[in-house]
This record gives sequence, C-alpha cells and structure tokens, in this order.
Amino acid sequence: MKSSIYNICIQTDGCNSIIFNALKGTSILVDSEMKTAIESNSLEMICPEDLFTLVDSGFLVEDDLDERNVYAFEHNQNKYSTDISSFLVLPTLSCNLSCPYCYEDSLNISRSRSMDRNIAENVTNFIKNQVMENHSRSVVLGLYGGEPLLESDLCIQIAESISKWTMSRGLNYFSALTTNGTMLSQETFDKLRPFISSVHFTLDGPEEEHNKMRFYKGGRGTYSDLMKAISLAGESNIHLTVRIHIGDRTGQGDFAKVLGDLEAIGLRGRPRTYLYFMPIEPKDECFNTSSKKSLRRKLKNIELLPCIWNMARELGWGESLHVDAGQEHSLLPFSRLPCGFLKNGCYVIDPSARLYSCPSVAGIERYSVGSISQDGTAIWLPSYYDAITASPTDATACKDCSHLPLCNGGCPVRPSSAQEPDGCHLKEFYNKKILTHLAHKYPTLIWGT
Amino acid sequence: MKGSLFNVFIALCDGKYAIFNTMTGALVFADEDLKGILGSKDVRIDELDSEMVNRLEKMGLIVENGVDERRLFKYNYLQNRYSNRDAHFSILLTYKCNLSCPYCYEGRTTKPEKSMDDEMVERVIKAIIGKVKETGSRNLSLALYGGEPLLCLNGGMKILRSLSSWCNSENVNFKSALISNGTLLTRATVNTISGHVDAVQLTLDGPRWYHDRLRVFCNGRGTYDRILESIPLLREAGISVILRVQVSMENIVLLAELFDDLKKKGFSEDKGIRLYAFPLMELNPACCSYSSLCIDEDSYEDILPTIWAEGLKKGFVMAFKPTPSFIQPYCSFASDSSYLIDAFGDVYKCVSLVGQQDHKVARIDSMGRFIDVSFELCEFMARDPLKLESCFNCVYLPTCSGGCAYRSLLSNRTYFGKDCALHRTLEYKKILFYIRSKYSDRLKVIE
Ligand code: SF4
Ligand code: SF4
Ligand code: SF4
Ligand code: SF4
Repeated sequence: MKSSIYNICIQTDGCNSIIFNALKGTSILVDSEMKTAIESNSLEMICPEDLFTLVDSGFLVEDDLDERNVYAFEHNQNKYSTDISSFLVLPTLSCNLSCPYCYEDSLNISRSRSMDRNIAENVTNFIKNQVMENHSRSVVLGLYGGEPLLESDLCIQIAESISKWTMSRGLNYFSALTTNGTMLSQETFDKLRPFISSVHFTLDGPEEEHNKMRFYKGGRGTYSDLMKAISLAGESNIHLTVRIHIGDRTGQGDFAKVLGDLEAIGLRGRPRTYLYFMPIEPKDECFNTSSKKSLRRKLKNIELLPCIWNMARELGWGESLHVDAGQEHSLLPFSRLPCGFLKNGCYVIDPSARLYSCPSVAGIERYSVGSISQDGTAIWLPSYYDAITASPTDATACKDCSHLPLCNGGCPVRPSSAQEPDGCHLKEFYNKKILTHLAHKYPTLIWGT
Repeated sequence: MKGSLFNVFIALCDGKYAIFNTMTGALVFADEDLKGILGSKDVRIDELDSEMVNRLEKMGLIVENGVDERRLFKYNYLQNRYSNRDAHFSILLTYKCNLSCPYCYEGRTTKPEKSMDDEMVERVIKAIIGKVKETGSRNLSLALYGGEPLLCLNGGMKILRSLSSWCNSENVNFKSALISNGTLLTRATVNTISGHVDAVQLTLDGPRWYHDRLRVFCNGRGTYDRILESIPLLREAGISVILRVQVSMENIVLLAELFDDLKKKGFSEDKGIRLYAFPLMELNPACCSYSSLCIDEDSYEDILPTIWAEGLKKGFVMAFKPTPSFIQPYCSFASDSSYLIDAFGDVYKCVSLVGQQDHKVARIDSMGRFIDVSFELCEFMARDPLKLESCFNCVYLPTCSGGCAYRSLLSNRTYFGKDCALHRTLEYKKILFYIRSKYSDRLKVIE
C-alpha cells in the first residue's frame, strides 16, 4: 500500500488536519500522527481497522497502481464520448440592455451582429448533421446571446426545427433559453414553449441593486419586468433556473429580499425550479483566473456561499438548491473536465455561423475554431484540435498535481496559472473550496482558519 | 505548407515512387521531383501549380504549417476509442471443447470445463442491455465463442433471441457472429442459428492431411471434411463465412494446396466467404487482430506477404491497404464500449487474458450490473501511443497506434509499451502488396 497522489492535506487547527482525496472525493479528519503516517507512507503505524477504511476511501492505494491512469481514463471518457451533443446558439450578439459588466471586459466584442434566416438554416442543418455524426442519443440546445429574444423568430425557427427533428428520430431533446427576461411577452413565450424545456434568468440582487446593474439603454432598471417574466414562465411547467449574483455589496438581508420577491410570484416549492448563487464575474473571468486579484476575489466569495445556502434553506428553498458535492452548483462538482464547454460534441455558434469552443469568446473571430458552411458541415481550424486535445495530463505542472482531479488543469484556452513563476495558486482556491464545503456539510465540527 | 509526418515513401522502378499517407489512406504515384518536394520539411509549394497543391492538401500529403497532425491523430484516435456508437460484446459461452487440438493444450495442466448456466445467461443479457442503454449505443455486435460455443447452444440462442428482440424494439442495430470449430454445424444446428447469426468464423490449419493431424476430435479423427461440409449449409442459410487460416513456419509451403482445394469447391467465387491468414497463436481465436503470435517475430513479414500472393493467385483477396486505427481499430477491445464476458460472468478487456483472474476488469452481479470494476480497466484504457517515444515519432502511428496491448504486457510487463510486431515492416509490405495487386499492369515494384 502507498498514499494516494491525490491526497490533499489541509491543516485546520493546531493538531488536526483534513485529508481530502481529490480522485474519490472523500475526506477524513486526522490527527497529526495519522497525518504524518499517511504523508510519509509510514503505514506500519496504522492499525488494520484504520488501514481498511483508508484503502476503502482511496487515501491509500495498491503499490502497483498508477492513479494517473485512472484520472486519464476518466478524463478522456468524459471528454471524448458523445452520448450527448450540445449546441449553444447565439442568434444575436446585441442586447437591449447596457449592463456595465458586460462591457467592462478586455474582449471588446462587437455587439451589432445578428443571424439571418439562411444562416439559421445552415445552423440547424449543422446541428442535425453533427448529432448524426456523433451518434448521440440526446441533444441539448441552448439559446444564448446577446439577448436571444431580440431575434425571437430565429429562436423559434431553430428550436422548432431541432425539436421536431429529434422527435422524429426518437432522440432525447432538452433546450434552454437564457434571457434577461425583458422581452418575454406572453405571446413570445407561448410560441416558444412547445420547443424549449427550460428558461434561465439572472438576478443581480434585490431590486435596487439589480436595477443599478441591469438597466435599459435609457437607464431604467429591469427588475420589475424581469419578475413579470419569471412569473409568466413560472405559471407553466417549464424548468426554471434562477441565477442570483453575489455582488460586492450584497448582504444577507438583500438575498432574503430577493427570495421574498420570488416567493411572491409562486416560485418557492415549485417543482423544476433551480436556484443558484454566483459571484459576479467579468465575462472574461476564465482568462484571468491566474491573476492574484481574481484569486482574492474568489476566495472571498466562496466564504459567502454557505451562509447564503443556509439562509435559503431556512426560508424553505432547500429543494431548489443543488449544492451537495458532485452536484452542478456545488463547490465540488467532481467533473473530470476543466470546463463543460471544452468537450467533444459541444459547440458554440455565433451569428455568422462561426464555431467556438467557449461562449466567453463567441463573436471574436480570432478565437473561432471553425465555421459552418452552406451545406451545414463544419470546417474546423487546427486550433479546434489543439484546444480539444489539450490535456492536463500532458502539462508538466499539472500532471502530478494532487489537485488535478478537482481542478483539471484549468482552462486550456487561457494562459496557464500553473506556469506562474511562483507556482500555481489555484491550489489555494481549491483548498478553500474543500474547507468551505466541509464546513457547510458538517457544521458541528469546529474549524480553525 | 509542410509535408505530412505520415507519408510513407516506396521506391518503384524507373525512379518512380508511391507515397502512402497512413493518416488519410491516400496513395499517389510520384516522380523523383515531387517526392523530393514532399519529403522536405519546408515544402516549396511555389514549385507546384495551385491545382496540385490543392489536391495534395486534400489528400493530406501536405499540411498547413500551423497544423499539428499528432493532435489530429489524437483527436480521431480518442474519439474513436471513447465513442459510444458501437457496443461490442464477446461472450465466452463455455470453456468446453469437443476437439483436442494439441496447441490449445500446450502448457495447460487442467482443462477448464465451465459453461454458462441459465442464471448467468439472464444476468449477461441484463448487463448488456444495461450497458447499451447507459451509453446510448446505436449498434450492438455480439460474438459468441468458447471453447466450442455450440456446446452451449441453448444459452447462446437465449442470448441471441433476447438481445435481437430488445434491439429491435429500441431501434438499435444488431449483428452477431459465432466463432466455432465447425464440427457441430449440422443441418439441424444451422437451422437453429439461421436468422440469428450473421457470420460464422471457422478455422483451418492447412490442407486436409495437415489439418487433420492437428485439429482432431478426442478420438484422434480429423475434422477437415466435417468443417468443409458445414460451409455450404451456412451459405444456404444466408450466413457469411470467415475462414481463418492459421499459418505457422511449418505449414506455409502447404497453403497453396489448401487454396487449391478451396477453389475447387467453388469457395473463391462466393463473395460470402472470406479467407484470411492469421499467424498461429497460443490462445484464443476470437482476437481479430494479429496478436499473440507464436511464430518467430522476424519471419512473418516475409511469410504473410507470400501467403497473400498465393491466395490472390487462387482468387482470395487476403490483404488490404492499411487503414487508420480510428476507422478500423487494430484491437477490437480498445474501445470503451467493448467487453468480453466469460462463462463465470467475469469481464475482461483482452481476449488473450480471458480466464486470468488478476486481469479481469469487472464482474456481473446477480442484478446484471457491472460491479467490482478494477483499475485494470483504467490501465488498459489509459494506454496512449503518443506517450511512447517511438510511436510518437513513427510514420505508422495512425494505422498501428501502438499495436497490441497484450503483447506489450508480455514483453514489458505493462500495457504502456509498444508492439511493432506486425506493423513497422508489415504495413509497408501491405502497401507494396496492394500496389502490386492493383496496379501490376502499370508499375513494377523494385524489390
Ligand atoms: S473554455 Fe475556458 S474561458 Fe471558456 S468557459 Fe471554458 S474555462 Fe472559461
Ligand atoms: S492548474 Fe494548478 S491546481 Fe490546477 S492541476 Fe494545474 S498545478 Fe494543479
Ligand atoms: S490487447 Fe492484443 S491480444 Fe488483447 S484483444 Fe487487443 S489486440 Fe487482441
Ligand atoms: S508500435 Fe511500433 S509500429 Fe506501431 S506506432 Fe509504435 S513504433 Fe510505430
């Protein structure tokens, strides 16, 4: 037996430590003696009973096991299998609002382009071709923007076509509309409803806060219109996801206010309702994770989450939160990929039918990895293969890192934080996540800092 | 523009060359000049007309400077290995066999006898359906083998019937094959399997007198006539036949005699009968690759081409242009959706390791689930030819992809090694053979 290379040891107070196994997602509280035994591979000091537990939970592994292969296998399996094909379509890059954070990034996206019907036709053909080529059983369609409902006819055109096509082929179909909510009239919703499964809204905090961030070109806030839209969608049985941003100044009471407003429109206890809290991040955040500033902000934000979750739970929103380890919106989602977008079978399509491997750069031609031609087939650039085959198991800094199964090497599109001269500080970020998660899950244990 | 990493140059007569690209399968003939241009690192495309540049690029013989062809290979290779499109299961129905071929017993002290019981048959059906559902595969192929699978015909038929009707209702394409020694294929048996089995693979060891010394019933009687009798029965039932000819140093000179006999029986005219030469191996005949050889490693690069040529003379095409492994995988079990299940319900990833407990990757429990999934599976799957230095730099990487993992295990005690055995030179010979058989009128190959 030997210690797992994916054991992460975090000191909690003077004498105790947490060991978290990043591959198995298991954690254990140990005293300093046990910690030394595991860290230094002095296993003769451990009694047989403990030994069994440690092996069973993956803290210790067989001598001849190279866990890197386990990781590599899971990583590749996640990345290359295409049982699901997913398409994020941006029918337009323009938006009827002028939220500051959308413009405050370094990417300078020109926001005036929209698709035309012909391109939309090519895009639907591409989707069908690609699903066939991938031999997928399930198709996920995302309508995204800009504000997709500025082109609601295109949204309907694409969603209707794909929905009917999947039905005729016996494929599973799931589609989500991400909207700022300001253009969702009853009429538009009724037209779209048969072809979409879910609507995704974002709130920037309580009314006052939200209106400072999300306003029409003239400056009028969007909160009340957004609430109307959520309420309207909420009356149907559609899936609803509400993302609530955590801003620098949002406090506990503010979230209670938002939840109160959502309760007033009947969302509390509504089935198929998903609520999650997210720190506001610039659109190009993934590109800057390696900066110290970003790290500081992230560390601070992580701390806030458990309190918010607890409050939401106390107010009766427990069923809408999905924050257990392994769940999508938790601190430890246990994916084997750095990003859900960099996956075989996942495509981001801009209004000019260019293809991207990432939504945050959609619309910026130099980041495009291919394009859709008239006949609905893709022409890939070499950069597509470079991006998709990039693997943290090849990166010198990451391939032996204990945090690899949690971090997965970070975004391969951005410059790697692992190559920073002072080493990778993402480890600190993940340690914080682990501790915060555990503190939330086992509140009776007392932690140091 | 630069010349592809995967161009193989073959000298023909009169200063002509054939250039074969192992990634795209494109084959072109070139003169010294063009060869020189393509062979250089920095292709002087200004020396070619734009039409030509276009064509060469389409065929993958030249690529843009920014293209990393290994990335392209990696993408295709991994996409194929992890594709959920085709699920394949080989099922060892029974370890029993009604023959006693000497090479099957070499080095074995006990003869395994286990057959799949009815309960296990049910479990296996459940397990396969579960896997296909889970991965959403569109095609399911099944190979029944043994021992001699026809000694467990009831179990086999139960599996075939259940799976084909399930596939039918779920819109999954279903194909199945039987790997048999052929001696139990009577008219009655063929009637039973007819409509359920698409192909049957039979094995011959040489011409009658030679075959009958090796492939014998327990009483020592030869099996050649019995096997050949079954072929027309199978063909009448619409089942295609794959004749696998086992080649060893000893029988090589005799194969012409076998081919003659097969031709006389009219088998060369029937498109439903395919012949292929397979170096005699110690273990299981279910492996479709050229693995587990027991003839001298250096000699098959001469032997196999001789046999292909002999076969061709009698009308049997036995070798083809090399194909990239992401189109036709070299190892049937390299794919994440392929497994072998034996009579005990143990699951393996390699046909040559079936029955070796320490190499099993999972087992099937009473609920028909794959449980006790072992790290062996990860190790087998994580094998990556691009991480092996010689494969990284090898022009045959796309067609070979590192060769047989089992053979690497034998020689390196790990899957993480290369197995060039049937690639480095044999691939070259295959291309030669292909050119010779297809373009013999136009070109003479320099030996
Ligand atoms: S590809 Fe990179 S930048 Fe884009 S969303 Fe993923 S992690 Fe972020
Ligand atoms: S980016 Fe940093 S934390 Fe992540 S795997 Fe690489 S070295 Fe480890
Ligand atoms: S590893 Fe080799 S012997 Fe085993 S199944 Fe694959 S090709 Fe055949
Ligand atoms: S195993 Fe040998 S022939 Fe095959 S790719 Fe590797 S080096 Fe080339």
